[in-house]
Amino acid sequence: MASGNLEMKTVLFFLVILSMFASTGCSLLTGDVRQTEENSGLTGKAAEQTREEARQSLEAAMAAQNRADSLEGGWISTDKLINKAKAALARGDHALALKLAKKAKVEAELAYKQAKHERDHWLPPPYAR
Amino acid sequence: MLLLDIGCTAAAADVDPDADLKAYRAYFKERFPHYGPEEFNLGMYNYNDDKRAQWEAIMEFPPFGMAVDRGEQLFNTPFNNGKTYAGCLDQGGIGIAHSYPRFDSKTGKVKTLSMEINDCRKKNGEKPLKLLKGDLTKILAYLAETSRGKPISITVPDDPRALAAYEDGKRNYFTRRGPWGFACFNCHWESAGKRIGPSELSPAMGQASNFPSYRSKWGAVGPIQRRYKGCMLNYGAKPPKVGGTSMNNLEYFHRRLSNGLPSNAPNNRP
Repeated sequence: MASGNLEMKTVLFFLVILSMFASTGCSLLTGDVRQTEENSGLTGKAAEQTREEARQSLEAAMAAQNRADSLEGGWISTDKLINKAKAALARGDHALALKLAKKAKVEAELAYKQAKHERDHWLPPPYAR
Repeated sequence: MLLLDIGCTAAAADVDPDADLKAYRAYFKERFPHYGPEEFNLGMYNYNDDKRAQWEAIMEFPPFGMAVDRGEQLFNTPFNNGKTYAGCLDQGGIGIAHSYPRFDSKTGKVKTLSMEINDCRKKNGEKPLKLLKGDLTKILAYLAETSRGKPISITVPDDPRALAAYEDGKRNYFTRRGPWGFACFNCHWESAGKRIGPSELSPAMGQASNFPSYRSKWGAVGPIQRRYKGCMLNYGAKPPKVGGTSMNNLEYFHRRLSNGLPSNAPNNRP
């Protein structure tokens, strides 16, 4: 009887431990979106607004990059930022997506300015004329 | 319209490829007064005795040898319709590589040897080959071998479209790109003979005579546009499309810088 109780208690103990791991694991594996939004402190309408802002920023960054590319002046680093922003958006890290997209847009605009200036003002150096 | 299409704003009358070449040769002659054709073709190996010795050892049994042999086999293998590449190319393709890229008056565009090969394939019902790797590079290696020693001869005919393509290539060459604002000339004119990281920088004159080249980094023979692409990626710029108008025009201009130097391809580079 006493040993039966001990066995039961042991089994129950391990079941409790297992269920604790299961719930933690679940939230880690599948609850990234919830976790990220909960960590950001944003829920509901605020979270939706941030997601929308990130999405629009990403679209603006991609449009700016396309513009730079149209003059064959795009930078590799901008593509990397855009891809990271897309990945962040996909996994629900909207704050990061927004930050990366804004940085990408700035870079793409600089690249476009560079390409436009070069197109309009390129000149070999004095020793090559 | 065509001038604007390829981004060239200079009028054809302002473009003088012969005067340019004269000025460029004068620059490199002043920079490297003791260099002859051999030294210009050696490029980076002028500046590092150890690497030069390694290159000399490699060239005794060069790694592009197998590519040349395979390229000859591919070149001579008939298409499904029984015709061969020789039927499409001047002189049956033998001893012509040193004169490419050429200006094609029918299309009004620059044509690389890669394009000639793929056009030949299409005419004969075959699919085009990939431009930077694989069978095409082996065929290029073979064709280059048949031109070894011949003087590089890139001509720009007195055709406004050819002059515009040359000028567009020149623009590409002197255009700054990427977050650090590098252009080809920053490394291969002003800094020729110096180093960037572990690599010695070759002078622009003589570079193209060594391509297609086996590069240790690639583990294969590759055409010069593969090198352009890699170099631009190195300094953070998205390269223009390989085989596109800009890259072809760049090759047209850049290869002309080596006019008169003996074709030295295929060769071996790090």
